[in-house]
Amino acid sequence: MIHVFRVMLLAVVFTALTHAQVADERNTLRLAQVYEQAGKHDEALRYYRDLFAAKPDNSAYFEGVRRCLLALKQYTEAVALLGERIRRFPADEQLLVHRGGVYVLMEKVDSARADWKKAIALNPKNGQTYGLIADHCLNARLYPLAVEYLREGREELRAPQMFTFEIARACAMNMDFDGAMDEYLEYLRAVPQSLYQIQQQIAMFSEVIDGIESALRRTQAAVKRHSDDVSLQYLLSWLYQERKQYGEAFAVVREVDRLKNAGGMEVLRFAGRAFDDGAFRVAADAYRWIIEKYEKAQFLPQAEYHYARCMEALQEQQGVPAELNAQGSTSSGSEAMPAYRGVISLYEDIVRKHTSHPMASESQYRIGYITYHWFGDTDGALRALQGIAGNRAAVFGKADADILIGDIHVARGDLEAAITQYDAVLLSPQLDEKGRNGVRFRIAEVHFFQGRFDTALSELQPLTEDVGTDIANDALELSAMIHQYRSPGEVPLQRYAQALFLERQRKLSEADALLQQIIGEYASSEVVDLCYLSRAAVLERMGRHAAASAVYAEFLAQRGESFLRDRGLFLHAVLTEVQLNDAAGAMVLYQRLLDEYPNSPYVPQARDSIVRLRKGNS
Amino acid sequence: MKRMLPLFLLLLLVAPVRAQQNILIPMDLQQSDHLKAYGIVYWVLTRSVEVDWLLNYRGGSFLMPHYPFIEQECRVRGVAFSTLDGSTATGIIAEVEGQDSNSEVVRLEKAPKIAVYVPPNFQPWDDAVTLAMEYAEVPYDKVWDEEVLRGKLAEYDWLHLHHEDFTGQYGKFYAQFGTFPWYIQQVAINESTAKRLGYSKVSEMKKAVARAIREYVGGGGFMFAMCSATDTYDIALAAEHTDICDRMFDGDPPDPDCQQRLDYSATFAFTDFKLVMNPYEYEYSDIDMTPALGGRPDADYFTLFDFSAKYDPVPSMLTQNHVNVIAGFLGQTTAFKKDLIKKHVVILGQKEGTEEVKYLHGNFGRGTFTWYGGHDPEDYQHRVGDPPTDLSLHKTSPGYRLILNNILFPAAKKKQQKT
Repeated sequence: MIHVFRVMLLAVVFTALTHAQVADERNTLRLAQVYEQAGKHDEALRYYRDLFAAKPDNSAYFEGVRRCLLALKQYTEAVALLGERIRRFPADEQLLVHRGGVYVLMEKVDSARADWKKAIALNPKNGQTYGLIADHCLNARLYPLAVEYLREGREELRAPQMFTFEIARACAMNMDFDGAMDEYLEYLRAVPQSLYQIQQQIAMFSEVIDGIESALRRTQAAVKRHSDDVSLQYLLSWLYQERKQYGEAFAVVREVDRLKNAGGMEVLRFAGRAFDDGAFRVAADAYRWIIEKYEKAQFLPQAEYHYARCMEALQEQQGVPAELNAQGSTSSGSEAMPAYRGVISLYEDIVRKHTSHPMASESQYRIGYITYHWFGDTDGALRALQGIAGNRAAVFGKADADILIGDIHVARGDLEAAITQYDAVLLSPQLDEKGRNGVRFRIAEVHFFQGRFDTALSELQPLTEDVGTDIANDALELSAMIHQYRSPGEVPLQRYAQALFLERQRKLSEADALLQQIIGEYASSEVVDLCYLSRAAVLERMGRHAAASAVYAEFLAQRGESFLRDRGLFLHAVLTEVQLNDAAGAMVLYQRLLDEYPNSPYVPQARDSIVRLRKGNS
Repeated sequence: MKRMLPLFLLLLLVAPVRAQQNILIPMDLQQSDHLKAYGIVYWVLTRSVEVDWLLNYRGGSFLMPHYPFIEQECRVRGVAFSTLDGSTATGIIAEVEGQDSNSEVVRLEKAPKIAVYVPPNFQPWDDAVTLAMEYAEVPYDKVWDEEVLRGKLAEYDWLHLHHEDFTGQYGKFYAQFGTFPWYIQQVAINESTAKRLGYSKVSEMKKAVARAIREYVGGGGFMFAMCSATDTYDIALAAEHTDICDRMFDGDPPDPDCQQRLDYSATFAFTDFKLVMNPYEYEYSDIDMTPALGGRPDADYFTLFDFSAKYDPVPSMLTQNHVNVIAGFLGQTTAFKKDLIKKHVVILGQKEGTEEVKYLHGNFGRGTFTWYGGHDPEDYQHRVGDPPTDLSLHKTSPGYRLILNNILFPAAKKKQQKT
């Protein structure tokens, strides 16, 4: 019995001691880790050393000592520690790799290479070894060395896509963008679906000029070698578009379209992007190409319509495109405006060929728009629009044709018809708030033209309340004009409104004559100031720039008390600069504005103009 | 009559008669565009017309001979001015030079040649000083490490630095932006430059640049620094013989005893500072007094100190302003801890009731340095990627005026110290 009791007692004591030892070791490890995390590596090292001395086989303790030695830059001791470990575990290639890493920190690259050679020799097919070596090289900023080992690993493992991104990044960090691009391109060829990933990687150095130029150069070369590779072509077209080289991009996209047998869809998508980016010429070429090559495609009407839009945009930008010079239009446009007839004929073709297609409605609208805005042919525009307006609103939810018809009624002088039209548009459920406000402003304008100022003001009032809207400024301006100039008598303002109405109808000569009359008859009225400025604007529209300049000069000479003098000076300066091409004369006028009206709201623009003209002269 | 003669002669001696007209550019609240006013003065100096800076007179106004081209240019740039006849101008000069007034006339003689230390891929809108100079239309050249190490600074009178990092830790943006393309490219460009110039680490190259700048200032150059270019500059000088960069910046850990190995005798302005060694913390040392939880813009102001214009013309020039309490603003280095500033450094502006020094000035060798905490005086908390400040909306900014005072200060003729 006593014997059993003694054995049990011994067992209890032994267990207690063991537990105490284990708990002590755990606490020491915890302490070491806490110190290490707090950056107190010297303290952590002390505890790790104790643990390691007690259990030299424990790799966690060994690693703790190793890490702390490195953190404290005690490289010699770290080398010795690793050396000892290597002797005990000669088959562990990671130890050799780590010791090589320490040699690199000591700038003993030859010693590092020797260790790494041994490590690799232990197991040449272990990819992790090469990756670990590369990590050490990258940490030490030895980028070419990292690339060397990664490439060696890739060759040894016969895995051509292995380490692509690591090698490419190392090359890029070393500013070897050609090297980086070669890696990405090879990868892309092997893994075509990685295009987006490759684009993201290239974006990492696309801000560097050498980087983006290398990307383009290498991709061009790769495409030349592998012209049937769609991903490479995609990448090349993306690079061109990043650099806004749409012409070159178009050539590549055509090739992509052919390779993918896309039937023109790739080019159609590209053309849309080019148009949105303002590259109208290239977009036009792209649409033209589709039209010529895919006569029977389902999207042909879209291509034809957008081609016509491109021509219209080019016309506005640069004058008549060469392709349109020989074309004529069947529309009864004014022979005084030969421009745009080619564009109209394109739209007319679409309407004729694709009668029930939505693009026919769009084209018809553009015909009406151009006929009115550029030709001033109100009858022709009405004919073009009235046929599609109802359909457009009901089927496509667009009120633009209806609104334009209202504008045309105003231009024809038929204000009652205009009011009726605008009222009808207001009832349209498709009209959004912005459109609604635009129509309400037009109605207010009509009342103004008719001399019904109170009605006009009541229409304008709600539009001036929300100053965040686009129309608020226009509404405020018209309201202010009515309030300012309707007293002491409304007649001069009514006559002036009539003159503006004539101008809206493009009856410029009559408008000019009426303005002159008002100036003569109501010399004491402040409305005369407006008449002078409007008269100059009308003469400018008529191309009579010298006459317009004379009117401004007369205004400045005759109307000494007018508070619109600064506006007159500014407009005169702009006319002199832009239409009369007299930079010196314009500068004198701008300077006069600064001298005489230093607090004028036109002063900042005048200053900018002076600076611009000075730069132009230097 | 006989009694009048000595008085008359005295007047002739004290106040030279200005027969011609003069232009006065006021710099008090009457001025519509203080910032462009500095540009006008600079522009006038480039045309070999000397300008009088009237320290402490109407906010530090400028007086110059009248020429129509100057008047015209003021109008073009929107700078308020008035034309004075000779006797009025003479009266003002007499008032400013009077013994009873704390004001002084400083003659500005020539436009200083200005260099700005900026990286090649730098956008000028990100830097308050270049923003100010662009707005004020003051020309400047850009220099970077290569130019500095090749001795190009000798060609300039004034060197400006903004939020650069002379410690080689890439602005300590690693934690937040370490994977961003701009950060990666910045690292690649810097490392490539260091390698090309023969330095094993970027931090070594930056130390060399810091030494070159010290040589430049010691030789008589003027240095202006803002934001992190202030404390990192001194830290780099102090850490000449030790490594304070962690492995993500230079590939190896910092020296364990780097704090003990700092040499404060090498610095310009700061001493006894403690480094912040954590690479993930957006701070270099305890010099900076950025509030931990972000400041309160409505309660953050600093006060400019008054100096005797007659006896301390340099600090007076640097603190000319139309207000003397200025709205504060944060930066990577917002303000300097007073305890850590060397005793010989002149404190120009400080947050009242605190240890936060915002603006300081000192001498080194034959040159001077002026340091200003914070990033952008009109953007309380400017972050990476924020749009640039539009100075046309802040034409009368007192905070920006302090920057521009430094541009004109090197143009001042050295005056004999009054005894």
